[in-house]
Amino acid sequence: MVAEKDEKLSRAIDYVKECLTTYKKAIAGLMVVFAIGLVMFFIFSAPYGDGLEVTMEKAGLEEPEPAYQAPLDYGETYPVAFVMGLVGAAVVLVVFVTASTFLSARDEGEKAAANTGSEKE
Amino acid sequence: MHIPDGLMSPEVLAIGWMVTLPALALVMKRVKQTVDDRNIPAMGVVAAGIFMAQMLNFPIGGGTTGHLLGTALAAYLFGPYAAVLMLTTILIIQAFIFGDGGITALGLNILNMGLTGALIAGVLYRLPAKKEASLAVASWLAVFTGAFLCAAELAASYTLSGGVYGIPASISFPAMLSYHALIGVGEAVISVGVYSYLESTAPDLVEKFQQAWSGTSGTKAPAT
Repeated sequence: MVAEKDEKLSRAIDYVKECLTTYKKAIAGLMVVFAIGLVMFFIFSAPYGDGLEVTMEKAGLEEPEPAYQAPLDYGETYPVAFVMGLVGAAVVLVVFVTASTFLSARDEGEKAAANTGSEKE
Repeated sequence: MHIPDGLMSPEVLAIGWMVTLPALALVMKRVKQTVDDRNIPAMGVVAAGIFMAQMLNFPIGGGTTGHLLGTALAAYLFGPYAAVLMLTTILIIQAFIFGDGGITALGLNILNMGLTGALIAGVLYRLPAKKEASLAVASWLAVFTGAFLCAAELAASYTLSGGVYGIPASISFPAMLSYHALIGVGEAVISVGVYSYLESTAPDLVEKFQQAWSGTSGTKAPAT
């Protein structure tokens, strides 16, 4: 069980490395699109709320106090928002790759075993 | 459409968790059966891209903005179960690290923005229609149905709490549905744009992703 976990963790690390090598052009492209999109966001959208926030305003509600204080926010300025976007994207990538590596089957054998298990149930 | 803490009544929040948790348990089980391990790096990059795209609100007029959900796009590429896992990861990180969306409302947010859109996309993908056309419909429906659920949750909260939580149905439905009908158009345009770009620049990759979860691809007839 421990060996299997270690094997999955090492596979997750390999997958994260693969993201940064095989998909480096895609990641660079995403960063460029994000950098440009963020300029548009600050010009056209930053002062306005989204559909739910405007609906709350219409009903005379203010943003309620959060039940939990998050350690970060998206930031009010372009440089901060850009860095936070990259930080968030990196965290999403690492967490998603790790979670899905632990949840998915490596090969057809493992998949077949999972399918057989679910049929028995 | 990220529901904050303190907006919905405790009963509605509880119902959100009661629907979402078993659904997530099923998704995790199905991920093992349907997700091809070799596609995980690409899925990670797309999940990171969706996170960044969700920060980029676009204006829809009248001082209102909306942002991409990305659920239908992710489901068309990697399957509905992988899409739910991607959106759940994104929503958890947004809530816990950036305070975007409430912790208590996470069940409702996963239901409205992840599960619903993935279910719609999973059904529409199987239709014998051009993938770009069905993706446009799936994207719009994912946003509109999520907004409908959110409006219903607001109205139910208002009724159940006697006005302490939520928003009356007379305000929540017209406002949420009118704004999100327009946001859905933006979602459809962006999703189809990204999908078409990927299909034109890396058709083999898109085919490989789709074959892995559905046994079919956007360019080939469904297997019988």
